[in-house]
Amino acid sequence: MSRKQERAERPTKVVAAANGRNGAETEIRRIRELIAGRHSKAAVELAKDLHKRVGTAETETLLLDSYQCRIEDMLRLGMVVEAKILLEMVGRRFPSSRSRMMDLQREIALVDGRLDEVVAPLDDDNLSPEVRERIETFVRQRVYDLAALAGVPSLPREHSLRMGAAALAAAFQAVTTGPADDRVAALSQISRRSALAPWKAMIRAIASFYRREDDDCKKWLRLVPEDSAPARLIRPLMAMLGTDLTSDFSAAEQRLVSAVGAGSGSLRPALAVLEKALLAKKRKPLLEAARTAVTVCSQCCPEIRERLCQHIVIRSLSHGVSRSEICSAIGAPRENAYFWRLLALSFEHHLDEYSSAEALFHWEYFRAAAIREKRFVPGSLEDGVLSLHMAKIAERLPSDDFDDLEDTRLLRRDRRSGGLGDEDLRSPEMLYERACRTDPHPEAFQAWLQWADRHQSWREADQVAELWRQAFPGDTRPVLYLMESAEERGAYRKSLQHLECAEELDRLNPEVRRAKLRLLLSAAIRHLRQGKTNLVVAEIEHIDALPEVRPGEIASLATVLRLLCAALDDDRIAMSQQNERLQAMLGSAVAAFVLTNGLAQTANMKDKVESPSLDLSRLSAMELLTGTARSLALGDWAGLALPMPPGWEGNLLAALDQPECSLDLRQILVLGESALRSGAMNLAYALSAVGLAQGTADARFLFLRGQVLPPWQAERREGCFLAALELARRDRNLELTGKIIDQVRRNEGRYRGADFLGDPVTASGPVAPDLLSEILKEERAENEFPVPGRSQLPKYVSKLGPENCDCAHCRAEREDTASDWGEEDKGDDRNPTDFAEEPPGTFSEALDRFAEILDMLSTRIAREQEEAIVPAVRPEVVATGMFGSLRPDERSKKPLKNLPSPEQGELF
Amino acid sequence: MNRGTHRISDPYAVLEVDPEAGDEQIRAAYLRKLKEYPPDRSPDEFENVRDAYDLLRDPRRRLQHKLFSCDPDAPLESLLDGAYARKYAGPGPWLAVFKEKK
Repeated sequence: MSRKQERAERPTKVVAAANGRNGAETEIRRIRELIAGRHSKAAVELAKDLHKRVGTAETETLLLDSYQCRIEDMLRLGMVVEAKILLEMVGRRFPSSRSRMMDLQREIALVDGRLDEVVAPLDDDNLSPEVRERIETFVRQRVYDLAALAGVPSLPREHSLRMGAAALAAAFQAVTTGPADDRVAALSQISRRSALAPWKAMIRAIASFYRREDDDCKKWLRLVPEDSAPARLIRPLMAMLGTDLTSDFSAAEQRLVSAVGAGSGSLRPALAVLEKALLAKKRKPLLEAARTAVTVCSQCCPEIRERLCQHIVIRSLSHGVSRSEICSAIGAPRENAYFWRLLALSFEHHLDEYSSAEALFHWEYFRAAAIREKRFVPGSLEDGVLSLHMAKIAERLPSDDFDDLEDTRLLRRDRRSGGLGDEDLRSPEMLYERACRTDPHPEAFQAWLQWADRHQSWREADQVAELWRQAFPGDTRPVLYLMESAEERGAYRKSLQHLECAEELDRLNPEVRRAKLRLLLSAAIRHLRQGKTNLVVAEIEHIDALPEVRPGEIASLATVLRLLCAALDDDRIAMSQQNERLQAMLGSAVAAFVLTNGLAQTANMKDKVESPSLDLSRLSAMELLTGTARSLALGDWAGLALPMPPGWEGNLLAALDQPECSLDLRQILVLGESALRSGAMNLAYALSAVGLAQGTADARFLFLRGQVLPPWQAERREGCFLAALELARRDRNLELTGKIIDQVRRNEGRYRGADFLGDPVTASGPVAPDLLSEILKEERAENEFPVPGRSQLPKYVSKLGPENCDCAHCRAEREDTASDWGEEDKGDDRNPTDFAEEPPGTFSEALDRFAEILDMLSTRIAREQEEAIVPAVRPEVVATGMFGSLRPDERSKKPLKNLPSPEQGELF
Repeated sequence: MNRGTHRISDPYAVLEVDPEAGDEQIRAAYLRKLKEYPPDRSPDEFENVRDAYDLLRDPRRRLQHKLFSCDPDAPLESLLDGAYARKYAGPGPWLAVFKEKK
């Protein structure tokens, strides 16, 4: 027996049993229970049987109640025809029931689309108040088609119900179609007592919702009675407002939320909870919140569910939740190009070498997925940009990272599925090659060449330059590189050939002209070193033939060379003549001295040249400073980094303090750079202070100051570089930007795990204006060269952020666990008095040994280390600085050639 | 980063152009914004506009921005920005709720 049959027979059996005991009363009670439980069919059967047997008014009422329940159920189930037939049959058999069945008749009429029949009685002035009220209640609770109500023919056009419905339909259309005027939703013709009053409140709620006046919206929604027709919109609206997160939407409600796109209202709170759980790093609440967020998203914003899952998985992974855990909570995300890109970026953002290496692989997955999804094709611009990005990551990774990855990889896939394999990804060369093949453009070749110049042999670097030249035959840069490369290895003829090529391409190019002068000067200096004056004379003739850019400059250089030739030949008369001529050309004895001295030092013939002695004390400050600057600037222009004459630092410093001293920016800069080169740090610092005080080239002088600062002021140096970089960026000074970044990478850019580019400065975004102003203000005020033990760090240093600091305090602030070497730190944090406990002989021996080492170092490095030892800096720190300076990072084995700076765009 | 840094989050929003806009549209938007924020009167806004234009004027840099600017650590709520504003969908989807059987 089926459950349906059993359910139908069960009441009969029950009544039969009851007949013997309590009779009709039991049956009546049972029928009432069946009606209340919506078992209308059984109720009708029992009520018919009872009424047939007993036939009282009470049983008739009970039967009618059963029929009413049955008809309502039929309507609910969509059995309109059956309901209509049953209602007619009941009306015929029980005429007295017609009045109580009116509501059902109206319901059927409404479902049948005969709304005019429902409301027709309202036009009768003699309609009893009870009936009128029942019809109006019916309209309030059941009628939702306002347009149909506005057009019912059974009521006159001017009837308040029709007019009100027409106004509401127009207002509903207006508020859901576009921004509506307040007057549209005013609806003053609808009174509070009207059957349509709930619609008025609903329309105002919708208008407030679109105006993002959420509190008003909720207020209007509260005025919509729950049993009224428009109340069906309350739940989706509340969900869209983010109030009701638990609703289980019907299909139409879900479509509404999606169409309006305001599902974010309900999703936002769920995401906020999840965000909080992610930050709290608590696994269980995180998984719970992730599950809720995805569920809510599925209901109200199904379009973004996939993307949300991808973001949640990636955020969770980065917070240490295992992939299986998060996937079991929210389901595995789709691993498409978007996912791989996000994951690769996530690894890049996590600022350690392991993550950067991992990022490389994931960029390769992204590439494969993007090609598969037809987001781009191999060899497209996108492919080139991506490959260049990958190459730049690869070139900054220590090679052993790739081996470490094998065991600990999180999301390893079959790398052989396409693209580059492990071996190829190890090599920035392969990536650069792919970048330049797919999207050949000068900046890509430039980056490749710069990398090759630093890390590969000259042959390989030259090959890159040749590729660049083939791809861009009109570009002089690769040709000039080849020229310089040949010059460096002493292939002078080859170098000249390249120079001729460059001249053929662009004879008027200032770079080419300068390169020619530099090459000729370089050859002349080499011949001077070899003592071959006849060859020097030949080079001088070539130099003399070069067109002057600024009058007297090339002639001055030629004159100095003649002077040095005369010195080699020990021809004192010629020396004197050339010296006089040089002084006349440069207009300054100081300038002539600096130029002669500088070139003599460069040509290793300082002992052979006896420059006429200069009495510096008799010179005016301006004469000394401008004369020195004049020659240094000339040397810079000719590609000769001339040193400062030895022993001049004190005089120049004193001259700077003179009140009549007024140098222009160019002079200050050239003096500062030369002082830096010559290890005259006090002078360089003072020049940076003079430059900063002028306030017109702050970027350059902050950069100078950053380079001058001693190692123990590393944070301050970082601040200077950051500010200089920001100012250079604002000035669109790409040359200076490149210089700053190169400097940071060359001197401090050993891989510190700070970020994927290897140093925090280059990876930082623009500095906030307030911090920039503060750095400038404080650096302008710092006019004294820092002295260990006396000078304090500027206040802005504390605002540079502790994210890179690994001291216990900063780690605690970051809630990081102690690093592997945290314990060593503790042990090494010695009190200066600890030295007193050292065996006396050991310490003094160490100092002696240290002094010997310092003697072997260049002046500048030695001075830095001497300064560092004064405040009892830990010996290993000093040693690290010293040997770090002596032995540059393996990545920059070769000094950088004068390559143009690569495009720095993506850093900002 | 706690360096008091700020970034141009969306150069398209700064210039008020569509992400699919081409060179000419971007340039036109830039010129329009320049008129709106001349450097002498609104230097900060001008700086933003210029930065945004710098990012977008070259197709290669535009692509770099497109590929690498997404922040995987951005708050999840940012997924709801822009595209999930309250849209006017007309009365249809609203009335469909009534027509659906309970």
